[in-house]
Amino acid sequence: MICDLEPTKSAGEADLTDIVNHKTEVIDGLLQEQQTLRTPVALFSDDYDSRSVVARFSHLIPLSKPKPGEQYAFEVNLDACTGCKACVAACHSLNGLDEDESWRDIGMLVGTRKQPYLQTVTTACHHCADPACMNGCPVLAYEKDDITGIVRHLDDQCIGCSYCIMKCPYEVPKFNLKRGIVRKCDMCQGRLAEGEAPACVQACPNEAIWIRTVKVASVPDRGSIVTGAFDSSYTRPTTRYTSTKPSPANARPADASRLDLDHAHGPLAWMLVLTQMSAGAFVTCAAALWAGALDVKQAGITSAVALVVGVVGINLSLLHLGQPLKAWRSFMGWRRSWLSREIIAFGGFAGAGFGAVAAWWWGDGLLMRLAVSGAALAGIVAVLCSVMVYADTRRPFWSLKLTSTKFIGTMLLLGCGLAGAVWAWLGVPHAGLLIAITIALRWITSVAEMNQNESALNDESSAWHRSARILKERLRPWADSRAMLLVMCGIVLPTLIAGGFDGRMLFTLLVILAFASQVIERSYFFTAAAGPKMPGS
Amino acid sequence: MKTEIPDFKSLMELRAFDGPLTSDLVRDPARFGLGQLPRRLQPNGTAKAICGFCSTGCGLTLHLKDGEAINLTPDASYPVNLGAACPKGWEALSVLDAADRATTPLLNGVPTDWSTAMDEFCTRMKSVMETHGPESAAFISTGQIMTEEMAFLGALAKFGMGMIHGDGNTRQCMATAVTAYKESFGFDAPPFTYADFEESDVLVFIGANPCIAHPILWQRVLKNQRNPQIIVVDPRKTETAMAATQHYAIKLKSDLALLYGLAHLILRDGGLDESFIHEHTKGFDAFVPFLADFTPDRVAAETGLSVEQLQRFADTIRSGTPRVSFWWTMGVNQGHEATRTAQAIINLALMTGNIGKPGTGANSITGQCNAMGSRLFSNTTSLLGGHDFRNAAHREKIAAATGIPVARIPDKPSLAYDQIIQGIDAGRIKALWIIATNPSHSWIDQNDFNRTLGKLDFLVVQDMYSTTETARRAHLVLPAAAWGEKDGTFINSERRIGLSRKVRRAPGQALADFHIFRLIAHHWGCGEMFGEWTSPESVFQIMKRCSEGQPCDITGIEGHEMIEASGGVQWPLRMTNDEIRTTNERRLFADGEFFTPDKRARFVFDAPVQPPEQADEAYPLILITGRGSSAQWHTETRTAKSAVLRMLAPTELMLDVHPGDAAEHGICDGAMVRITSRRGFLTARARVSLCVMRGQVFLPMHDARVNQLTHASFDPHSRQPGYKHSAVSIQAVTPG
Repeated sequence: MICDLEPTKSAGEADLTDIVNHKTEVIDGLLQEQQTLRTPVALFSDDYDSRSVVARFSHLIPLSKPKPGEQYAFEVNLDACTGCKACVAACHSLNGLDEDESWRDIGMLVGTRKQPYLQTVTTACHHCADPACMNGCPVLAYEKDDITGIVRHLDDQCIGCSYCIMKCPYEVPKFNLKRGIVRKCDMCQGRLAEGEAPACVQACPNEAIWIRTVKVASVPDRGSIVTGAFDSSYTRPTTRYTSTKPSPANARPADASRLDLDHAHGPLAWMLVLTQMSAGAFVTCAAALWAGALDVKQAGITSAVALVVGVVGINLSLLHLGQPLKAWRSFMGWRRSWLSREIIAFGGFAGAGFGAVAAWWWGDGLLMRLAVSGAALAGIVAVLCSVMVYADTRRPFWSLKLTSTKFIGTMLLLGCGLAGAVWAWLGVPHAGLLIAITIALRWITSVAEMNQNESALNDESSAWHRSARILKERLRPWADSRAMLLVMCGIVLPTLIAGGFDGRMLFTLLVILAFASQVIERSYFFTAAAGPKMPGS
Repeated sequence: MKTEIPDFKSLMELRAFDGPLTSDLVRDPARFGLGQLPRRLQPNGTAKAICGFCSTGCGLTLHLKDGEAINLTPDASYPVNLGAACPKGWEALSVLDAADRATTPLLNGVPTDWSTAMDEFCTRMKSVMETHGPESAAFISTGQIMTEEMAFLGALAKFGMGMIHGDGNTRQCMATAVTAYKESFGFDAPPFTYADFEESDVLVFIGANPCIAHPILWQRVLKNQRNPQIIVVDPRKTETAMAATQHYAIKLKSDLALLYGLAHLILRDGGLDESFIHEHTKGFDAFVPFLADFTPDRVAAETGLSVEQLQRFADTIRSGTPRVSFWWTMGVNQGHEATRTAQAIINLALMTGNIGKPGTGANSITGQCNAMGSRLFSNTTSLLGGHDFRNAAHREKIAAATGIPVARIPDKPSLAYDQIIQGIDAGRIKALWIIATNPSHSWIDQNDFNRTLGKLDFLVVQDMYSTTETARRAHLVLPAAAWGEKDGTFINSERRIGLSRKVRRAPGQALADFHIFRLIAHHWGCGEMFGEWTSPESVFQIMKRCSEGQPCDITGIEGHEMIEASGGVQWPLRMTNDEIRTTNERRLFADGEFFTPDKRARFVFDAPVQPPEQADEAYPLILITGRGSSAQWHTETRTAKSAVLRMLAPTELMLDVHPGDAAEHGICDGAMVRITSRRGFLTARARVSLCVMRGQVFLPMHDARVNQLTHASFDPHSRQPGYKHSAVSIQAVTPG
């Protein structure tokens, strides 16, 4: 003890200064003692068996490495998962994760009107037999271990593009804002290699979490691993949930009725609309060239404007990356990743666009025609790659049909609009035709989308009913603003143009408003995506 | 953009398998048998502590770097938790780093130094007590600080400063169990040891949800290899009810009738342990005719169960005997007739002889980490060591044990918590000193409580955070060091005394509660009286002397070191108890001798009465409150400071409502709902669920607004507030 209080003297025995000094001494002594920690030597506890962690949990993990054709997998006994959530806290603490980071989550299944039911569900990476995250990664930052089957993330390879987050139907990879990369569960592979159990396995008081060896061929490719989980045919998740009390038919995730907005991905929304506008303008320009409606200069100016729009769009996508300096790696995944292919295709598109502008400088008509056609073709390929990037995530709201309608529709609509506006200012005689086509496309794309939304909203069995509800209930002001923009682009401005007001100004305004409308559509393309996930709480 | 496509192998070589981001997460083998740990969290020492949240009393291994704790893991060698902990335990260190820690004394919200704070404290307290008498100042102790600290607090306030009244926040959780045990067993003595969870053939949980409230005790239930029947009595379908083999969702507050009904059936069907009743109990003869009225038909009507269900319940108890254990928590303790309900549980254990043997007992699971320390040593309701203020011999004994003049020991016990508040309201109590508890959030009928606090001339709050709802109302805030920043012992549910170590430096000028008490003693001018009270260890020695000859005798414990080395020690441990020193799981009453003067346990009973506030036309639903999730602790002053715990707790206040009531009030799942009682209103999001019964709604207690709604009723024997029966109405604010 550093400071012991002396018996207090009565005021008669000491003068005031003494008392004040003495009081301060006592306080200082106590404060000093409070800040003193005992030396660790005195606290050392060496009575641990250094192998105790191995011994304590050896019954919960396989004793030997998987044989060929096998891999490690989580197994969760739901009967023993009773809601303590220690696995989440332990994953955080034992892996030294960031303040609010854990690679395990807890969700809950509940009953509905027929039967009371509660079941907590612990979930981490399912170390899928066919990992969607790995298949989608444009930089090969995922690796499925040959022996253990653990799906590992290479943190230093990651460019933070978040595509794995969109690809994974179980919300496993999580974006780490501080580091600009994604991180995820590695099944504590280093621990397993030494015969130690993963953090979550160690932490479960009820021994609900196990590591098992499973035959890869027998990993289910249909059904879902637990009520509310995505169809296993997509990634073949290896986690097995067991229970002696199967969940009732009407059980559902506790968060089923919550309409959460997904990440908005602003730069991507702008990038998609701008690149589609650019590609569309090249397509329009090529068509006009082959129809003999444009001269080299007019085509050159149109191409230059389209190129600027396209290059701005492509570069905006860099803002979306957590590690933009590593973006050069993004071609690496071309064998499997549609994102990688999209990036290569837009590289080609930009090159072809520059070619078209160069042909204008060269001044040759045929060359111009070929170069613009090349750019148009590259643009169409790139936009189709964009479609596949999203369709490949298997999110119902991003299905091939919905996404291609939206992307190709935007390409034609804004492409015609951009080219038409440029031609109007250049005095190209056929500009009027393009204006008419643009207005018609505006109506067609909008009415088609509204019809789709309405039918998905009314049809509870529709795969993207949830997205339609989010649009109606959470994003109503945005949907309403698009309706107003349709009135402007589809009725008010055309009427004014027909009425003889300045067509060039008004049509440019129309194209800008149509563009704004598509950016709004594209941002709820992301926020209303209602990506699949494991049951939440 | 590269146009040439390299072959796959060379691409693979471009991959960065290593680098700074990868090495962030590298785990290396750690020393001390801790297995692999992140490289930046490698310890160079360890220390042990008992978790400072709940009464389970889990052992934690603190990972030290140069003496300071940087991480922790549950202690695998500790007999309580066997290497597991709930999320609160895992996050025990991170809540210490919060930005709103109290770092200096605050006088009317303005930082000041300790010297000024002490002058203010002593001058104003003395002034109140000199003007209005010793009963005009009171203190509220807690179940959250170390035993040595609460003993010091009680002794300082009552013997040193001359206060008469002081109660603990344990009044809100454990007073009922205390009163019930005292009356039935002769002493506040929970008889069980945690091994009983594993040794039972039938476990009956009444008003308890251990899956959420005591997850590590549920671990022990699941370790039971005897394929036990697990019975849960709870109006709600809780996680524990889901995991049970039998769940009886009885009508609200019909538990007393149910327990008497079960006793009736056991009596009728010959389930008595007649020799035990004859040899070790008193009052059964009067209990038999009392039970005659509790026919299955009547009890079925009152509980909402069928006669068949009642019979099955009673038969399960009969067939499980003599390995039936009964466990209860707040569903029983926080009721309008809580003491009799707890005693009805005790009666069942006594009449079937399910006590004193492995896997038996009428067992109250405690709430706070040191509620039992408070019950035995806080010197509030009972004199140090479970003694009686009114008993002259007890006062003499404590005077001798503490060296404090007997004249300084009051000859009357303190008012109960609610009576102290009444005293404030009536103007009799003018100054209040609150230590490590947050009643502005947690006290029943909160608005009334806070209005009453406003009447005080002087409110002092001593806490680790300066932002608690109560601290924000204080004239003077004293900044306290927290768990992990000081040494001392806790006593858990199974009477196990465990040691917690100082492994962190307190922020700023914060001082251990122990040091604050020393400082106050010094400034008050009674430092001499506490000359021996220099460290937690020395106070432990004083506590030992106070306990001598009591049921909670701990004279056989040498000191802190022995507690740590033994994996905790369950009381009693007398000097003479050499033969039991070696065992780590001990239960009481194996010899059938209780702590009453005639060594017989008592049958205590009363006819059930209706809860004071009934549902009516204006307030047609009954609000139940309770624990929300395993990641939340009480008023969340600590748990809300951990990002991990916040992530594991609900993001907003959710009201559980039955689909029938939801439909009747036009409420969809997910809609915002306004809940109104006679005392206040709040809004919450509706969760339409069959887990609550028709006519009931449930709110977790952690949200600061919930106790605006609760109706202040008190068990007449224990003075414990009944948080679980308040009439409310609900209206939809927004459609789902």
